[in-house]
Amino acid sequence: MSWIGRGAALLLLALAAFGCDLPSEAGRSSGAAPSPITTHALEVGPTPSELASTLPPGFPVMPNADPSRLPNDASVVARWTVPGVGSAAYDFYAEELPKAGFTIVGTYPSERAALIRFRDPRGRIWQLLAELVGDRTQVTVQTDRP
Amino acid sequence: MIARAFIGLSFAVAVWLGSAGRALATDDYTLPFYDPAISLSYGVDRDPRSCYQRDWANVLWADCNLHYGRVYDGHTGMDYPMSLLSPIASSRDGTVIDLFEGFGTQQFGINGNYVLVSHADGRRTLYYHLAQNGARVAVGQTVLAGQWIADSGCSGQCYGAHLHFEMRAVVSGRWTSVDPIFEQRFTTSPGRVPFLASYLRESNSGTEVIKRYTTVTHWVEFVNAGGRTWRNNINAGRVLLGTWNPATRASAFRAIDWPSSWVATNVDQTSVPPGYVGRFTFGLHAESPPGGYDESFNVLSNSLRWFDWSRLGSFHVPITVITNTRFDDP
Repeated sequence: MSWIGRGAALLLLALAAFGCDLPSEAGRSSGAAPSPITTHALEVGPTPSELASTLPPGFPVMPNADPSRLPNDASVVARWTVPGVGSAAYDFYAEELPKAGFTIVGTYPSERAALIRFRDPRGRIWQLLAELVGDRTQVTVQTDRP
Repeated sequence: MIARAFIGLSFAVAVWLGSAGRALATDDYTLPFYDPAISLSYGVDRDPRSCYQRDWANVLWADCNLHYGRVYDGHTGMDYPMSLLSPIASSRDGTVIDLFEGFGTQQFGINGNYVLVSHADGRRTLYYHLAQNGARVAVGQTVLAGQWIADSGCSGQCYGAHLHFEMRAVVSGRWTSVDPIFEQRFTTSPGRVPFLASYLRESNSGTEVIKRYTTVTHWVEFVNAGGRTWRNNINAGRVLLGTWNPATRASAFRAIDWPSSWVATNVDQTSVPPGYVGRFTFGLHAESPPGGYDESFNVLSNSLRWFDWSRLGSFHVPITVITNTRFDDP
């Protein structure tokens, strides 16, 4: 399983800020190898203040994740796509989040998207949204909202 | 938008309070599954406008976002998360008029597996995203409320295993999805699973001491926490107390009043609506040699579904059989 570091979302934010996307092949890896996102994260090295607005520490990322441009929405802290459609992303996070120390607060699958609300070890609640974009599943992590 | 939502919520509370005194409609629709721990993901959007959503509590959301536990834009049914291959129950008596079960259990696509049931009030209920070969009924078959009709899946446009339950009615000459929660079409608001009970009390919560070759009378009371009325004067669906661990075990303590070797009794009352208390009275006759015994019982909606035994307080009767000096050798 790949893991995203604290700087991963920072990288995503930086990519969004500069208006560039990673080449699709460069952003992919085999399931067993560390994600390129993790590699970049180690290079970037976030500051403590920057971490506050990024992904919760220890957050798992699915293999072969490609970072996506962030929308103009302050509640969205990270977004990427993974190959495949359907329930794979939802199933992955329903299983992996608890293993990574997060508590699932609620699961809300539907025909439009799947939403998982989860609490990080510090007690903050987040939302993970998995939905279809093109022929891939887009995963978004955002702060909690009703 | 927040202010609008607040106003809508206030109205919803008023509607809720106003409905509190409403007489319970018996034998109406119930939730289409058995597990009471399952809660709503998203309900029906009652606002036809794009990016305006009105949920089951009449709250208006002027956006396109998903609102968990409430609604998402354009949704025509009610989504309930559940594990793959969970049992799906018919929401009311009816007739199966259509089904499809050929897609893979998790096959993503435009269409998925479903069962469509027609009801006597002219409405239809749709059970969607079912498992491959997940229909347990056939087209034309009559089904009873609470009957196990399908297994859940994630076929079709599905991002996580769940049931899409939809109620349809003819409105202005067209089949239209309607909101059973808002319209209070469920027997109980906001809906209950068909069969559920909770332990209340019994005649003797300790050990029944029975002199050998004699009979004692025991009763137990359970609250009808489900959505179906309990009845004792019908066949299928009759609510009875049967032996448990294992189910339908012939009991060594069967008394003369038992309907069969494993049925201790039917519910005493003719009718026990949701929320009311049902009593089960039965005899325990000791033929067994002196010693300690334990008899477990569970509630059954006959030929439909055993209740959740753990929610009945794992009901069992400890029994001590003592010597009857009139018949036993000293």
